[in-house]
Amino acid sequence: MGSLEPRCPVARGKIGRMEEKVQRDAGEEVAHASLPPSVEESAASCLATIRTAAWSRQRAIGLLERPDVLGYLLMLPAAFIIFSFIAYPFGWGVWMSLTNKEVGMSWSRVSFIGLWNYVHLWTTDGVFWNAVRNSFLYTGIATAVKWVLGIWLAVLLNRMVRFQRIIRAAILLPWIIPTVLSTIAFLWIFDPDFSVINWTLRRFYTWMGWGYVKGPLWLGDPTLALMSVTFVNIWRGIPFYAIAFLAGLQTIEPDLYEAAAIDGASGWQRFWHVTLPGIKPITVVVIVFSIIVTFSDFQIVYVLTRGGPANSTHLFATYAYQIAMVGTRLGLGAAVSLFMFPVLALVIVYQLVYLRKEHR
Amino acid sequence: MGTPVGEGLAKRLLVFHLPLFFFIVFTLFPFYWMFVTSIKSTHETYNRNVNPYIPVACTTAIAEQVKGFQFSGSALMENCFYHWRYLLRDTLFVQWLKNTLFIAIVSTIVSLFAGITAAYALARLKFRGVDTFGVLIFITYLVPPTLLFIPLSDLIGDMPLLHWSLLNNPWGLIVAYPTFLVPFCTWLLTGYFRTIPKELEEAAMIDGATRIQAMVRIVLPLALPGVVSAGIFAFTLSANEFLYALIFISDAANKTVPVGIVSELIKGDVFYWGELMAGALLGSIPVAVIYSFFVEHYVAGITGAVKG
Amino acid sequence: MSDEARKQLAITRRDFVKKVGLATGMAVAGSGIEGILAARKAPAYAPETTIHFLLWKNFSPPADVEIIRQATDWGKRNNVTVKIEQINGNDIPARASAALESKQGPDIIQFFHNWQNQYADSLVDVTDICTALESKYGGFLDYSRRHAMLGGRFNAVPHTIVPNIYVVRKSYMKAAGTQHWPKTWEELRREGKKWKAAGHPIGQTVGHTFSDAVDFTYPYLWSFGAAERDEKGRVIIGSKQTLEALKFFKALWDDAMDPSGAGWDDSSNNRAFLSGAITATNNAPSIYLTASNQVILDDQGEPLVNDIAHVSNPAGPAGVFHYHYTQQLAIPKYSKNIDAARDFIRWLMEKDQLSKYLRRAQAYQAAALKMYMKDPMWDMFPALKPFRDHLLEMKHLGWKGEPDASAARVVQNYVLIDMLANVAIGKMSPEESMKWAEGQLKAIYVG
Repeated sequence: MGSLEPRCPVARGKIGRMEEKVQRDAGEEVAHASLPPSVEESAASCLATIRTAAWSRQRAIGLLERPDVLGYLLMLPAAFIIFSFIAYPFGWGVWMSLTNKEVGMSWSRVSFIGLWNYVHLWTTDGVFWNAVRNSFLYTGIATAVKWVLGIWLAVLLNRMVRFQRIIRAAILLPWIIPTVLSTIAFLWIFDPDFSVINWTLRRFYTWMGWGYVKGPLWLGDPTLALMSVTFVNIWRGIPFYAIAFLAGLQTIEPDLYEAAAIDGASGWQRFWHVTLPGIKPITVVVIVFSIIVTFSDFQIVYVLTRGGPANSTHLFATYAYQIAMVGTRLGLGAAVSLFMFPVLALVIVYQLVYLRKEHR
Repeated sequence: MGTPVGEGLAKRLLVFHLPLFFFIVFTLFPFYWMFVTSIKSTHETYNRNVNPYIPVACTTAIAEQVKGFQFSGSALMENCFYHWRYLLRDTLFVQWLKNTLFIAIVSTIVSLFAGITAAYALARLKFRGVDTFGVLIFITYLVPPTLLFIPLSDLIGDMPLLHWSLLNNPWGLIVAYPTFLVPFCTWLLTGYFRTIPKELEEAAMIDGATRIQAMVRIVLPLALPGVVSAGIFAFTLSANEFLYALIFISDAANKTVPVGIVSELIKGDVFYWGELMAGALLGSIPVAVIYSFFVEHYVAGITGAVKG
Repeated sequence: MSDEARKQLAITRRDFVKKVGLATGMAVAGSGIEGILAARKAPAYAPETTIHFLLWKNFSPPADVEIIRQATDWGKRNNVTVKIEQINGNDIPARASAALESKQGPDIIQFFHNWQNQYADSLVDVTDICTALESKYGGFLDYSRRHAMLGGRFNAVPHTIVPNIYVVRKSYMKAAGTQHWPKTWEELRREGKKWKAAGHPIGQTVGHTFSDAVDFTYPYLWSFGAAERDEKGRVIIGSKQTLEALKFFKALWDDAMDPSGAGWDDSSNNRAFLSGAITATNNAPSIYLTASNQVILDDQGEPLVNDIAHVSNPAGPAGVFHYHYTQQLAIPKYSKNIDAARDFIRWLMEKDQLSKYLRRAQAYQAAALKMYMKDPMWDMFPALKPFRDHLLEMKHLGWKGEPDASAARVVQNYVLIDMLANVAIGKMSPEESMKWAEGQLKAIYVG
């Protein structure tokens, strides 16, 4: 439409301010191209051309002003990514979990078996309930410990005046370093023969005169192994909690503390009645996020134990991986992955309800 | 808690310095351990009778140099930084680092763009289906990556309509990572956008700005801390990712740092502990540097997101 | 031009015209002598053919140097680029699954045990290559052959075998008063008790790892007469032989073994052995090779290699068994270069290549072909000869049933290993653990 405009230089002054603005936006470059106006063209038709052009331009802008059009437009990139790269694979996964699909199996042999995979996991599989139990313990313990220690660390960081920046950056390190690599370091720290912890324990025992001790088998004992992988998750996750809670602490109005102090509240009371409620919004967000991520954690167990010894550290993700990727039963593996979906969906629903309540 | 007014030194030590010290040791000890392991000789690493906290050969070499007022780079190299040299000279580590940075930066930018637009729409605009979109984005969070990677490798191996294969290509990961980054960025930024008073935009729009102009010129600058923290978060997640990078990339020269180190330096029966640890440390440096610049923004960004 | 070259040229041109087709053939003919020379450089395959070969990071690093050299050599002769991708052995199954399911990826995949039987639908039939090899070089070792076969069809070419027997530190054994390596498990338990008391127990992993745990578990059970399935494929793990094996294992574990083994991976027993933590462990030659290549010294400052002996697995009521994990090369059906991949594998299996490969690997691996039992290589590495001597004392996976996809799945899900581990770490009684394993096996063999 821009190409029509330069032919009508006469019309310039007659159009409204808005239209001129539109014209400038739309056809600036073309307007400079000095095509001589055709003699036959009347000013009126010229004006009409411009009006039409300006109108459709305006309509375009007007459309963008409408929240629904703009809304859909803005949702487009995210929706595109989600629908093309999550929705299809997710749908695929759900479908797989209802079939007997194996890796590379020709489609003629794939058959629909309903909920058999789920029923099988629930009733006969001898490892699945281990994975369920471990996942809940792992997530529960890790989340609780990260929560408590995270708040504590945040309070300490908030009080800190000197070296603030460097300490905060240093505290974040465990969260920054690629998980696989830090976990390999823990593999070495937990090594039964070369564990630095056990070396220290041995020295301590000898020094105390308690005799020789080999030290715990960090990854060899079923309970300790689960605790060890949980420990690594805690180590890795605390910085995220602490920094998020630190952010939360900074949203609390100092007046509240002063008021509490005037009322004679002790430090502990102030923490309980001012700090904790003050960081409640972020607590919900952080914990929901953390539960989801921890529940589907993979790397730590994969590097440290691969689910052993005797399946005492298998989580949903590692067991699904073992069944589907290594044991090639895609259908069954997908069912393992999807089993936790309802649990996590509950968490999400809680968060959405909470957020909505907060907004009203 | 406010300022520690009127606390005695002893109490301050007990409730402040001691716990803080404990936390710092707790978080940093593994890093110390990685560093020490990375400057020990393999022989020393496998010796169970020496003090594992001190790299003997290295400290001896340094002590000799200090005593003799003589600096010898090569002695230092042989006794301390042997593994570092191996890592940097004899492996593709530098290439992996470049790949990681490239992949992380591009996928962060893509995800931020999609996240910002979606978050703005969710936070500000009322249109049919907005709630459904919101819930959908939350739900996509939950889709377990172990479920996704077979169908995803299918998709990436033969991109729909285009029929390109992005397997063994950094772009394959750039396509895959937004699957978990976009929901996250959207979630964080939706909260943040809600904290910015609507009145500011409305005023700008009364002055004749379009909504998009108001969004780009008014809201976005105010949301910068939120954008920065979402960006850092996305960057970290994509730099740490392991599973997709392991499955989708086959050439050693195209690998990312975590996958490259694990697949090149763990040789079955033999772990190259020194190189592994040096790689772990070096691999986290770029992100650490970015963090140390932005940590305040990061905190501020989350602060905003939470208020929302 | 030598006769050899001329012969090659003739074959090449014929193949070339046949495969590339008339149009290209004309172009070659038209461009005279340069065309013919070009044709010699690019024989059977389309121009710019690349074959992508996925294999493990060898536990014996010089072997990697050799396989890369061979690949480059073959590539140059045939004007093909051979791209080698090496990953950790534990990661091969996942990598293969993703490739075979999305029908994209390596043209040749190295599988261990009988892993590839899980993917039989998607692998190229290589029976012709295998039968040709068998007639040229004599047969494959029986279990290697069976691991590579499913339903009478080879879906992979047996390449090498990683043998596993007991590696012992003689001085520790002697110091504890043991004169000879125990002949039976019972004797091992009795003597091992002394070693453990002396602070150097027997090291054995029962963790989730592809090599050492499998290498111990299967022959241990076989030597008690325990089997997964009978000849008709029925699960028979719930037997008094299994129970006896489990009960004895509990005793062996408590009396003579290092409890840390429950959390070990494939590398742990090597470290434990080399650092003097254990007296004996079931392993491949990697401990010996590391000790000798890196000149590791023992407590007295003597080279540790002199103190290492390689000995047989002890006997159980049903005899002596070992487990040597097989390695075979398979070609996925999705490959666009099946012909090139087949030729490359064929070439790798030729005596010139294979024997050089084994030598460069320092006898870490044995060949899947029987005739290499008499290879003079074993005289070059006398200390490793026992590995060869026990090469035949093995059953195949899934015995007495077939080594089919389900048998591979039992290995991949560590069912029998966990059955031992359950007992070792006291999670279950021998009876419970056997019942548990029976349930797992039934689910796998039916579903």
